[in-house]
Amino acid sequence: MSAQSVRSFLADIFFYNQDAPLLFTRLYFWGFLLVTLAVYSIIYKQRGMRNSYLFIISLFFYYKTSGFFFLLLVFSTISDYLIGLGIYRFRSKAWKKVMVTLSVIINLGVLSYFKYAYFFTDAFNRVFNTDLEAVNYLALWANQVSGSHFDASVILLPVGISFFTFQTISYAVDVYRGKCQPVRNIIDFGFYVSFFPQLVAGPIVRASEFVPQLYAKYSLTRQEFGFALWMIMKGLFKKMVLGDYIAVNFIDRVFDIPTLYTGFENLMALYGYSLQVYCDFSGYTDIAIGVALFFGFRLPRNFNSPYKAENLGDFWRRWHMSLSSWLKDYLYIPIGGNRKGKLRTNINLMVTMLLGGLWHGADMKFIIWGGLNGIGLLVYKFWKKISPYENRKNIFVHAWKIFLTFNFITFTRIWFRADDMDRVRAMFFQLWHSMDLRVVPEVLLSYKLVFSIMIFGYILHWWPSRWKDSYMNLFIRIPHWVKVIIIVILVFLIYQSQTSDLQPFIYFQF
Amino acid sequence: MQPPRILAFVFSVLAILFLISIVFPKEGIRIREHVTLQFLTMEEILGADSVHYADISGILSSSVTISDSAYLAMLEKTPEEAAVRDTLRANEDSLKGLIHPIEYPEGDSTLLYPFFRKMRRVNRSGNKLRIMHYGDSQIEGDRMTSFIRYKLQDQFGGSGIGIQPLVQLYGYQLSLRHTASGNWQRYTAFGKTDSTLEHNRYGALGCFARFSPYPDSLDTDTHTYEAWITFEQSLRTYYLTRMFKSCRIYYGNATQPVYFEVYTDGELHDADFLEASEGLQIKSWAFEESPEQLSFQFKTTCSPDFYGIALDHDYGLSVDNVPMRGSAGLVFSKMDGELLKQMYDSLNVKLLLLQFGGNVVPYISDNYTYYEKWFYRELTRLKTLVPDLSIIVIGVADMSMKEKDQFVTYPNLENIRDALRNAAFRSDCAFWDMYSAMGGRNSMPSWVFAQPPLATSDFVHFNERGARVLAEMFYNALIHDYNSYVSSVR
Repeated sequence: MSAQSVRSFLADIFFYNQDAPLLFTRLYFWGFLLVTLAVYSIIYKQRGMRNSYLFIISLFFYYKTSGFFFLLLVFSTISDYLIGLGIYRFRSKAWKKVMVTLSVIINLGVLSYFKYAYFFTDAFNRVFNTDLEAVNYLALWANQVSGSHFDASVILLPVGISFFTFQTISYAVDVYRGKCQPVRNIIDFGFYVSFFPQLVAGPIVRASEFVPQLYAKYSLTRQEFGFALWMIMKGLFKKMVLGDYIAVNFIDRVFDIPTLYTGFENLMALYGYSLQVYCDFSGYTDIAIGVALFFGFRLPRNFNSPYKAENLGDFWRRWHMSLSSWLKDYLYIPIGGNRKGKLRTNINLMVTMLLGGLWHGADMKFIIWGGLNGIGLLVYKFWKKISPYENRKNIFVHAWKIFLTFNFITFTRIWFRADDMDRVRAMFFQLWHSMDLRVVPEVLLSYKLVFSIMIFGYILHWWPSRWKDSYMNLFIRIPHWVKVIIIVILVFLIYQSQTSDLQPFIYFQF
Repeated sequence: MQPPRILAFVFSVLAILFLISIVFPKEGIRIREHVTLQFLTMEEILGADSVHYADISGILSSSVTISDSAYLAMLEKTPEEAAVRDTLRANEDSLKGLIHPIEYPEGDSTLLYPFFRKMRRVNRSGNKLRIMHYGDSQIEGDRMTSFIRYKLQDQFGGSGIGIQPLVQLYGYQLSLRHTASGNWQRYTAFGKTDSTLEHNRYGALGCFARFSPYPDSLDTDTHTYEAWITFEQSLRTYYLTRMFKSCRIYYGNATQPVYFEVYTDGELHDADFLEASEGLQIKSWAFEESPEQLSFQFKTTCSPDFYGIALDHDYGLSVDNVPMRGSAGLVFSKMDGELLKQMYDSLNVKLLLLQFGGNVVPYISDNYTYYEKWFYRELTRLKTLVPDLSIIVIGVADMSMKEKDQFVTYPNLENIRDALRNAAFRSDCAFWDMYSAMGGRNSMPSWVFAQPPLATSDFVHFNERGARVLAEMFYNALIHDYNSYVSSVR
């Protein structure tokens, strides 16, 4: 190895590279985890050192994922730390309120600036016919201070900002509500804000759930360790074997240029996307839950077989649970919840869903997506009062409800996944005008591997939880060396799926 | 479980994987055809053995400007025009270094001058001139053509989308919403051809459509067939593309007269009969104002073969988008030459852009002289049919295949590019090397992974944005040579 390659090897390890952010799906992460664990094994008994260590490691992790935006994390940490103390110290209710409002303003301000600057500027320009432009003040400032050359006309979105700002809001509110004590040590608090497994994609951890763990001694049972491994394996499998393959070889292409594909292919891409988005997202949080357990920390469950939901309300209790419950406790209930009459309840629900939609991305199509889900919830609320089937236990009724809910969710995902409104229209056009059912056998045959994986994925999803739990329990019970072998085989399998040939582009026409 | 034990566990998993990567054969273990087990090698773990994707930062920085200015041009014709021009001019300046020139046989850069002369005259006299852009799925949905058309019409006059088949494979394109009744049958000279078809008079688009079956000689039943088509303006396209003042339908093989009704924006505009005649027939309509919606209803006992419908201005340039899905460009010799010539003459076609080759790439072989030979045959046939026709062959774009978890250029791609170039040069045609223009070897992954992306994840097709970038590059090359011509005659 030459000096040059050693240098670039070391740079790869320690410096941020925009093209290779640190993700759970990279080999680098597992090397990083090994080294982190090695030091952790020495210091885990000293609580103060443990928390400081994990804080520094988490900042490094964030730097490797998002570059210098880790300073934002430091800023969030300092401001909410001080606010937390403030809320606790102030005697008067009014001042407490002022402080908690300040936290909400700062956090939502940061989030709005980085995530919604373009969206709001654009909307403002349209309404008032102005010609304002969003400017990256952070880059301007950095350029002035350090002579750097960041592009000030583009505001980049820091990874995970939607998650950690919500987390710090929950802290301020929980302290305000007296649900948890403020964290006295700023390092401890920084660790809560930035704990690396859940930093990038959740679950969103409530202060009241996590802060007590900061002071607890390390503990992990053998069962929990087995469970952690199971979650990591499950997550990697879902994300890398199921999600990635169908995305790269089918779904992304259709959503990119819907008009190159028949209506039937568009439809299949939609169903595929419902599986893929679940596999990607839940897979990632599964891994986070498992990795956090290695360090003795318990993160909340985030998904509960969402497509088994019987209705839309049920779905939102099973899908991204940490967000749904966050929105309920910190948005829906504070604006009145169901305490102010029927009309207000419905309005509150709708507002929550619209803002929840906007949280997912700064685009009108996410608001539409949230709105459709809101309408769906309202319609169901009305329907369940008059439906003769609501309380039937019949298996067909049960299956029908699941089918309906799943299809509605899949339908709304057109707005969630398509890159812009125009592609939404293109998809509808294809679904409506170019269904071309004569090509179905040919399509099925040509994409047999993609569709087999999709079917397999859905079967796994709908497999009874009881049975799945029994496999998990079996895995937990087997000796460690067998677990090692199983994991090695799984990694080998994952590598095969990642290196499989590209599905060639196929033309269907009549 | 204490952390040291967890560490030992994780360590043993990684150690075993590491050992496997040392002993696992680098070329993998082949199980059967198309199934080879692979594993990481030591070099890959250390990052020493990774493929470097082409650097396209120059192209990326221009793509944003192109998109912004193109968006402005969609809105309206005049108010923002100055602004659009300025951005484009500034952009052209910055692109100068990026111009990827058109190549000519024996370096004869005057090869296109006859065409440039006609194009210049159009600019001055208000004549008509037509460019037909043929290609494979890469140009489907008016993807590259629309931008070339917009730039040329902006400079040389003219408007309208050009000639379209009566029914599209899929009617949703950038530039026009196209819907039709379900009883239309499409016959193509490319892709899956209908073996029962008894003639090869496909017309200039390489496909025709009809709404009744070919009559059986024993069949005495006189059933009446009806069909409709509708065009709607798409607000997503350039202002000039949406506007048209003339509409011409090309049809032939009409054994029976066809009753038709034409509606503009829902109002009856004309109702009459299409003449019965065996040869090529043209029926035309003129509009004072460009309709937002144009629909036709047809009724007859036996449908003619409809070759196309042209939506143009009364003067200026027309640029047609003719996608042939799945085609390698070897279609012109399969089609009736007389009809092809008649249509080219009537449409006043003076330049063809032929953009093919992508569909040959997946069939890997050592030698592509066969493709060169066949493509040469097509070009000479076109040149023989219409001697004053200029042709620019646009070469294949980069396409990737997977090598382990990396994307690399197909090993045969450059050979196919060379075959196309040789065929072009041998038949006195110009050649534009799209592969080099987009960055050469391993550039497709850079287009796919660009933010925002410029190509789709099949590593074959450009998306709308990417197609626009390439179209701009091609336009720049063309206009650069046109400007040389203009300064040479001054």
